[in-house]
Amino acid sequence: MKYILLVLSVFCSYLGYSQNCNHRLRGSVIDFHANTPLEDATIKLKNTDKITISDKNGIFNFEDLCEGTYTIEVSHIGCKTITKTVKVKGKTSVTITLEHHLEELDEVNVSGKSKTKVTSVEQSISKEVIEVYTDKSLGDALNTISGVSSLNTGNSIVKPMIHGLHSSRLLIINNNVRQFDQEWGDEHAPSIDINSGGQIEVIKGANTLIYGSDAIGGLILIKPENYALRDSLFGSTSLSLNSNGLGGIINSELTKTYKSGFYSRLQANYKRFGDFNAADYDLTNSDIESINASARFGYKSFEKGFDAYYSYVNNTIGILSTAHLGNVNNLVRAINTSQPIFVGDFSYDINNPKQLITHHLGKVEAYKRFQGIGKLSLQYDFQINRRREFDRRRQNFRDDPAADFRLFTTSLQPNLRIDAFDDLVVNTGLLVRYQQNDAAGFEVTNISIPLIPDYDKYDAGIYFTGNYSLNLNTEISAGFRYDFSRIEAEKEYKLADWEENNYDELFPQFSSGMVEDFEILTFPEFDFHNISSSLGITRYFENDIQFIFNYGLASRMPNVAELFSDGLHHSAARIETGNLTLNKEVANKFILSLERNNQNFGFTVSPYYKYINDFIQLIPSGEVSESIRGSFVKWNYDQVNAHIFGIDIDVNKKLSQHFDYSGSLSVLRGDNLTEDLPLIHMPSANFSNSISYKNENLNQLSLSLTQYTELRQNRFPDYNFTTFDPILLEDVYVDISTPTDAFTLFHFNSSVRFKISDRSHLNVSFNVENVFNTSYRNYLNRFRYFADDLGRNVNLKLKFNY
Amino acid sequence: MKSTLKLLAILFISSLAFVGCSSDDDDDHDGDHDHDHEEINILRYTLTNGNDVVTLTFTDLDGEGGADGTFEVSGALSANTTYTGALELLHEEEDGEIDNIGAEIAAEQADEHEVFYITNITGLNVTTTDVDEDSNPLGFNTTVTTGAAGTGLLTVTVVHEGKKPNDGTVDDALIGTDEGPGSIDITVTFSVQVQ
Repeated sequence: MKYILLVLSVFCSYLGYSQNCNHRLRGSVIDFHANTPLEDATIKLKNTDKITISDKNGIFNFEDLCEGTYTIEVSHIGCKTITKTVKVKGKTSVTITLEHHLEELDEVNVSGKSKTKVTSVEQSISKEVIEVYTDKSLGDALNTISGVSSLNTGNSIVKPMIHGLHSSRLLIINNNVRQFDQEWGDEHAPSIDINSGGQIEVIKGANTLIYGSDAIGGLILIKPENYALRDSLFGSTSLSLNSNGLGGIINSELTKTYKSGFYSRLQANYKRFGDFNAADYDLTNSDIESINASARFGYKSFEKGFDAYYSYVNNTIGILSTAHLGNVNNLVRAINTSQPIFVGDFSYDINNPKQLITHHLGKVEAYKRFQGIGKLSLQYDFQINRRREFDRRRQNFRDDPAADFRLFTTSLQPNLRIDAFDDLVVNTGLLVRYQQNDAAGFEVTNISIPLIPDYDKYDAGIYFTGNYSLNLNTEISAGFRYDFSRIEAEKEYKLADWEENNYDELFPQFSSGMVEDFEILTFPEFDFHNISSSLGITRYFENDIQFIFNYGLASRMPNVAELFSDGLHHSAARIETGNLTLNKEVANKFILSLERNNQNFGFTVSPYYKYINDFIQLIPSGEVSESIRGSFVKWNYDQVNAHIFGIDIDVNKKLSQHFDYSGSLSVLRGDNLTEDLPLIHMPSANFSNSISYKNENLNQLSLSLTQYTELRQNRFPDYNFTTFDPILLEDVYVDISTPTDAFTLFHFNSSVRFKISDRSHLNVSFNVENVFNTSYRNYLNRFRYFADDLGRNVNLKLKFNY
Repeated sequence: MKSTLKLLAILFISSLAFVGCSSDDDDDHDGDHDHDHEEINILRYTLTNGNDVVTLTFTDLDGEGGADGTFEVSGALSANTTYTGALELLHEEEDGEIDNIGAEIAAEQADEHEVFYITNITGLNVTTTDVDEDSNPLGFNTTVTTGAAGTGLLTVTVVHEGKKPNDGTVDDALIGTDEGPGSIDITVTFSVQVQ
């Protein structure tokens, strides 16, 4: 068709010679976004020798043209060249719009330095680093970033922590969708397959308002890979095998892209591990099985596009047998014994206790650019998270889950990005979200009150953010967000608890008055209004030095566990009780960052301070709850004023042509100001040093040795207490507060790349974690009372790219 | 754009279908089991010697959490006497209906359970007289002999999935089976007087 047109246009213009040739073509070239004239655009009349450039008003002229149809070709630096067919007769005028944002469509080479927000303090993990963690979890990979640690439950449940804050205080944005996977639980890790994303970013500073108002800790952004617009089919298959747990993962992905703008990607993997082992013994029933898949399909062009994404995660996670306790006296026995009470033979069986988790995430996003305004996008998404937890119970109940929750979340988000101005980019948008939790009742679980009740939650938010380039060296950003949340729950309370907590007087409006089997049915309802704002300044100096300052005001409503939690967590012999009187918590965050992005010598020095008003903490109350099963430690939620401050330092230095050094240090301190105590479960100071050797000429050989040290947390609140031991018939001391000792680990990594054909190559890597098989326990591992952390692991990875 | 909208619509509908499916899942459980009670809210240890009957009862009708349980000891034990002890583990519903969980355990899951009696009263001895199908001690039926007068504590502990046979201590039982460690399912301590 194009060819015919071309022929036709040539023919027509040829014909023109026989006619009177005093026609004129006048045109203007304008920028699509800004609607401003483009100077110095080159305009060619095809099949003639006529060529001209646009003036400062974007205007161009061709005189003495014969009547006919011409094909003009317009090009400009940084723009996509376009051709246009014009019929010229008399004085003809034409407007050409050029797009200046080609870079957005091109393949982004993920370097670890590409930032989402120029004015925010953030760090990222590249696809290469993600690949090292292919058979581990998101939390393990994030642990490589200074200032990021994790709250673990054994070795497979790893909850990321930024500056000592986790769960609802972190926003996890998975492919532009805010992840909702019952993140309220300490032993609930994000249901995310680390292999599904292209790049992971951690935003420690402000600039998170587009995603929510409650990022008190920070934000984790899992971004998809970006594709080039060309006809191509590529993929990879990787296999990773490990000595620890005698298992691994097989992952495959395939991507098809078209020059027309369409693209599609399929990815799937299967992961299986048997019992992991600590330095000196097996960790019985720490097995994991995981099946994950994701699919993406979309179309992108400059003016419009869409993206559809679906991912499925299915995890079966065994819980360390020896950590599954009865009452507090079992806990005391575990604490006082250096070896686990129970070590079984190695197996791949996943017995109770275990967690079965499935997570579906789907989204569709579409955008269109409007000339002179910007980009309007609309996203619809949904998530279904089903979590079933099985305990060791009497025979008749073995197949009944002790907990079975299904959380459904759906949201709609329109966003308008206004980029028509030269120096200013404005983002504004809305969010409406609905969430429903369906907690299986007695018929399913044989437990009368579920840990978390049924509830409906409604959220609506509106935000404005702006990014302004003050001059070449300085950028400023600011934002404001308002959120409304309403939660309507249906919950049974033990009548005695309801009255003991004074809820009958404080919240008579929630009570239905119906009492059955010692339980009262209630309908708690809460409304929250959250306001948040942010301010960011970046200034660039000479020698690649950059200075960033962020301020953020964030507020967070109490989550469902903090409000309603009601029940027993066997693994720590604890009863967690929510609190209906909690207010929202409000944080003022300040963070500075001085950075030098340079391969020869670079650094980031980033101090921060957060003041959190009404910080919600879960602490042992010092009391036990007596029952026929013995005593359990009561953990309650309360609110205090707190501050957390610290510094993260990263350094990289090129030592010689092939040798590089990198190191990092994180120091943090958290205080409960109301009671003048340290905050519970704050990460201790840690540092790492790494030496690496790289040689491009030796099959891209890379070798590295890393040392990682975590010091003992000497600042901890003492919530120890004594309780009666019915077996010993005397009082015993329950030391649940004392942290673990410092430890140092060494890791070795190596990789080489073999070319197989022009279009395919094989990556082989050989790694050893915990080289010296050091036995250690981590203060932030909930199983620190029961068993050591992982011992040595020898890992072999093969990745075939095609 | 039209095709995008269509896709949006399809996805929206399919998401509703998903929700539909998942809700059904919950119902799968129904009907599979007859729902007996797991939670034991009454423990009664009855010591009988002819007309001399002493009962030790722990009652926590609203179960874990809620109101504290209550302890009731009907009277003192006689010194230098031999009693026959019988342990009952019950679930009592609000309407008074009683589910005898102890009997169920003794009949069907004896090999997974063992009852231990621990006391600091000098001369008080509790001997298990019943066995499970593997001829290991069970502990629902006991013989209790008292010595001289005195007061002290008596703990009744039920270990689930404990090591069997064991050396007679709770600690040894808690080492567990091939499947995992044992756990204390019940532990109740009574103040007892021998006179």
